[in-house]
Amino acid sequence: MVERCRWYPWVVVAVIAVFTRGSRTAAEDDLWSLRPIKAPEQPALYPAHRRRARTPIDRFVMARLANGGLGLSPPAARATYLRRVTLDLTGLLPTTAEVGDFVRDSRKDFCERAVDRLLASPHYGERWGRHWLDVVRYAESNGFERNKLRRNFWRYRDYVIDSFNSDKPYDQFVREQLAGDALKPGNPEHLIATGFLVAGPKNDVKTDSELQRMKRRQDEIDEFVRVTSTTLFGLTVGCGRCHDHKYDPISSRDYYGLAAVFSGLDRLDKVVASQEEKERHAVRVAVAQRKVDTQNAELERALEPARKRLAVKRLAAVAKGKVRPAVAFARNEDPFEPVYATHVRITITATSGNAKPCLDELEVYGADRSQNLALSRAGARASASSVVPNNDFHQISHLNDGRYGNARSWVSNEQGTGQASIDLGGRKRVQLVVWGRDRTGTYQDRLALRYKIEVSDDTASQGWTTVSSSEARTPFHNDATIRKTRQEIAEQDVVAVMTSGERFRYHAVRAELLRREDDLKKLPPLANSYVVHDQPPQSTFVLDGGDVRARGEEVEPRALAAVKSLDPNLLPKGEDSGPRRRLRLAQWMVDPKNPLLSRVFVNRVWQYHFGAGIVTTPNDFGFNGDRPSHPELLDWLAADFMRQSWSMKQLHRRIVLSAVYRQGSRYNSKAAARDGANRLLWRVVPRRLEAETIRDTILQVSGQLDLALGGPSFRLFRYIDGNVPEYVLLEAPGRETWRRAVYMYNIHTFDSPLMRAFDCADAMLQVPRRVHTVTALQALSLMNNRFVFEQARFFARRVTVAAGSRPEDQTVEAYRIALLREPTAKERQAASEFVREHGLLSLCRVLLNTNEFLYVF
Amino acid sequence: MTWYRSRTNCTGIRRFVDRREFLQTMGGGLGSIALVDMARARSQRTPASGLHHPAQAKRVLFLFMSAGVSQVDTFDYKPDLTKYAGKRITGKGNVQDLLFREEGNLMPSVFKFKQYGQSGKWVSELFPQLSRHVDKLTFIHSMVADANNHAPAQWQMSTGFVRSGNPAVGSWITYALGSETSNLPAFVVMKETDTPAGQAAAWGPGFLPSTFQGTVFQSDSDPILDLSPPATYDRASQRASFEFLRKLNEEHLRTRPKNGELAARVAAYELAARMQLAAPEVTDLGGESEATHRLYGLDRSDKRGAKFSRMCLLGRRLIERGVRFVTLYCGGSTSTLNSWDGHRELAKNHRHMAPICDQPVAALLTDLESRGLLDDTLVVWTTEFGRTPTSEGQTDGRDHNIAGFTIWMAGGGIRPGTSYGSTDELGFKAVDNPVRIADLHATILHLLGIDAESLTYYHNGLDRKLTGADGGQVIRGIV
Repeated sequence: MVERCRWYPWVVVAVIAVFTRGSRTAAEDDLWSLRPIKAPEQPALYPAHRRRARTPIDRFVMARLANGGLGLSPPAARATYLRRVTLDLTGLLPTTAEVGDFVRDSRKDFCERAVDRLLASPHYGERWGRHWLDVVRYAESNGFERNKLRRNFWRYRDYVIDSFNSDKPYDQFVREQLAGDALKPGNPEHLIATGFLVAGPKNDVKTDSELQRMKRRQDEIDEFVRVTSTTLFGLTVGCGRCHDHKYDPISSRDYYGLAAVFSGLDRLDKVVASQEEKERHAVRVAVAQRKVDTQNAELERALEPARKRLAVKRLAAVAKGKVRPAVAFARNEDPFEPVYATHVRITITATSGNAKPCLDELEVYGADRSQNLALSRAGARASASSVVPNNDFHQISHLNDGRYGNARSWVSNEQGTGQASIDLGGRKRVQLVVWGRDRTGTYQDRLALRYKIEVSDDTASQGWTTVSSSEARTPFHNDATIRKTRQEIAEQDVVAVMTSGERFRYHAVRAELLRREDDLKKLPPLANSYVVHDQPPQSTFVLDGGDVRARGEEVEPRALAAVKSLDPNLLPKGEDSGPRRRLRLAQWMVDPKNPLLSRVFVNRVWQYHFGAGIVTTPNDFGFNGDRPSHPELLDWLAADFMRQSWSMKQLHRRIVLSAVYRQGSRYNSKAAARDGANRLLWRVVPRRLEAETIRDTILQVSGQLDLALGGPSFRLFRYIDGNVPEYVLLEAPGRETWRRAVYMYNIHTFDSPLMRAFDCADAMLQVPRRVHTVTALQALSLMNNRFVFEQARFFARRVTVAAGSRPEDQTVEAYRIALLREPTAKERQAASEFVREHGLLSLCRVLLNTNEFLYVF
Repeated sequence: MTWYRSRTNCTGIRRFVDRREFLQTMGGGLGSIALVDMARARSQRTPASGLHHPAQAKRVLFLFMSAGVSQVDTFDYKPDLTKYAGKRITGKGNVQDLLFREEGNLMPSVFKFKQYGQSGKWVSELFPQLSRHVDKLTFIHSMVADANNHAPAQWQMSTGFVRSGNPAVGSWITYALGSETSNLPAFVVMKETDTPAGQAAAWGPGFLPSTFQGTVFQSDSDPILDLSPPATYDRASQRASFEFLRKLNEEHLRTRPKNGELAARVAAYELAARMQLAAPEVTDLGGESEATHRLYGLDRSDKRGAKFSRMCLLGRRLIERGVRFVTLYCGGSTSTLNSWDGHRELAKNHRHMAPICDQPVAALLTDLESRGLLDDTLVVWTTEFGRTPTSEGQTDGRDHNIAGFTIWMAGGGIRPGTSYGSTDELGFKAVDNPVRIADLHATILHLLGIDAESLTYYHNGLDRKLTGADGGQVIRGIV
């Protein structure tokens, strides 16, 4: 048997392990991780060890150590333990006061109290939420060439943080993320949870090639299958895309069975509000809108008098140069050069209100103004293009009957137009036409606005000649035309002609309107988030070699057949839809008979506490992955986890209160000789802080950390939107970026250089475990980066405020804040000298670069 | 997208690093993480160097023409295109499946071609200076790619895979071979304009430790981000701070013996201090002769061209100082005339882009040769895909073409004056000896003494390789 991999915290460590690979059939039924979980007996301990063993975890670990002739290291100092557990659970440093209290606490349960306090802190969720985001490759941009921002995806991040903080049972957490939309339709939190599935990259560059589109779609489905299987099964199901798994009992059918679950799954940034929220929002919008509307009406009223004056003035200005008055309702004269005529007619082409035109009398005169040549009794005859039917008042004979009034008038039967003719009954010399809508002046409608008057002379075989028209008249205006003109007047022109009283009122009304419009605009929009969006499921086929063109056998949605304790069939009973398929998968997943879900999760939690998991390959519990160092412990933890209703906080308590976790981190050559990689846990291995923790604790030490919880992510870049948006690193990000790093935008291919140098998770990848590198660029970053310099300056200011200007006092204060301890006399002297020569800023920056600051011991 | 496809099996060597090797990499700069493992793991005879076989190249200059150079307008002479001008491509399968946008009619090159050198290589008028070096070059005319849009295609050319998140060729090589300098990053990237479509994912470490990422080098005085403290900070204090920090860390280390990682951090700060001096020295071109400046074209009035000239000269200076892998981008994002992406007015585009690189690349070949560096430096001139011999729809531009395109290599063990593979009479599809990108990568590794099949890194349940599960074939015809 070759030695298996060991782990050192900076890079995955080594010993070459050329596996003597078993044949495929060996793995098939006998993969350890697929065996049912049986809560194992806790091992017996030697009497000498019993007192040290606080928890079942200790019994498993100590028994194993004793077998190898080893034991736990002495317990860590209280201050060391508090710093470790605080950083582990919250990602923040304890304060000096917290350290002091803890060290002096004489109560028996001082540890339990501290741990409960930390688990109750909202910063616990920020810390552990980030671990989960690593695993699910949380990204707030689409990736690929266009890499558009996902502006609302932070809601998924907050959902994760809140879930940890509320100690949501892990099975519920999984159910919500796989099928929240089906679990409780209309519940926004559950819909947001499905961000888990859609967090991966999306290629949204258009292409005309159908084949390329099919490949892309298959890649997307692959994303869903992979994130689900590696995160929750801890198995490399993805291999099945092209072939049956070479080592693990996973067939191509299994892979495509899972693909079938997601075959209609798409993603969308959409409203995630509940029905109630939507209704409330609609009411709020309506109320605000009504307020705006009433104020608009008020504004109209305030403008009206001045505007009307201005409109009249404008119309008058237009009228300038026109020689004849506007048409009037009662009486109009159209004089012209004397001409011989046998017929006179009027053609109307526009009327007020576009109504059917009405003429009361049409009078025609020669030189003698007393003799109306058009009168029927003088022998003339009237005719018309049309007459409004069945109306006694408006006959054509009324046109020249010599009687005035509406009841004795003619109305055409055409909207806005009409023509009336007078046959004069002989050749007459004419020079004036007089007409009106209602000669009594009662009716003010149906007025001819555009018209022409023509004459013809039959005896001379002449056609119609226009003798007069509305052309030369001043435009007619009534309220309607004034209104129209008013609408065309700019508000500021109206204000210019206001009286001071009018203006005073106007400004007050306008200001109120702006306020109300602003209120409307400021109504918070309904929340959006990037979530699942289902199309109907598609038929799914096994694709030979993963080639979209090589369709083989059709498969139904199903889970892993190798989990023998459960039925793999996922086809929903009753209605078949994407959400229901996912719900079936979720139910399968969280079934206590599924041995993978709890094993994989407790191992992840263990890993984040100790630096290495009981299985060092957290995303691979398959044959090629690592074997558990403490299989019984893993199973005990998994069983206990389920027994404790999948409570994550209980799991943390179990671990961090164990003697194993509470032991020291000192090197021990005897133990190292037997177990160099510390797989038996004879000590806690010192670990470097993660990128986020480095940034957060620097801000904490400088006194500038903004501990606000949740909300939109902050940006360290300028976003230049476009077909292919650009992300430009900000030279000097402002205070709004001095929040915890978990709230930093996670962009594909764009990291903060400082975070990247310290191995932050790449948004492109599922990162089940951070690597920890040591590089020169890292050193340059932490010494010279503008952010570090800036915060070192704040740190120095904080020290000066607290300790005054004596370098000795400053040194003490700086050590307390950053390293949570007093400097030794020697340190104090050397550091004070350094401060004297190079300034306090220099010392502060150096302390932020020390191993003591950057490591958990 | 086939890395998990496994024709061979997925076996590999579990790759981890122990503390001692790690320190070697950090401090000495000569060791490398992968190499020691590879040597130990291999059962066959291993050369003393730890390499799989003797290396012909020690370092790589990777010249990346961003956004797709048209092969039929540069190095893949297709006189028949004139004959078929205005016709459709027929008899070559579903053309649309290969294209990115709209299919158009065949469009002959407007550029004049002439034969050059002993090899009689046909080169278009776009490269008057480079054409004088054809006898040093090995052309591959039968490259094929898998993705027909820029970012995935650039990722494939740079990392072997059409999805982001995989280590760059330069990362794999520095992981395998380490660096020959500890004063400079082992893998350096320079850009002459904005960032190409593949962005930082094209030189990222992927799942390898971030130590192996490409470091972006600015061509001005402060070439590396955070190389120096703010200008207002006193230099003496900077030196004293490094010194004081070392004291504190060493004191701390004394109370915690046998902690290699903490010790490595002490070494890392020493290295950082050295880098602060070495990096600005590289970009200071004062020591280069007037003739060299002129040779590369630093004196050109065209600012953009002069910048690329400077980059090429810096590229030579970097590899001279032991940097393992240098990527120089010619062209950036795909906005008009910013890259080689000639969807419209192809002639105008290539007439704009070619002069940027013609003189300095020619100069680089001359300079490397005269310094004896060309023998063990592999120069790769590449692009992510070619362009169609047809117009794109009704335009006078060309669409992306993944079915066949041209790249060339020079130096480091490459057979000079050769042309390998060919496209059909239209310059559309590779017909003779098609070369996949995995084959190209396997060949590059081979020239460096590395067997692509043995260079692995365990990630997420798999022993990952640059050349994927299908592997790559070393192109025997050119090495």
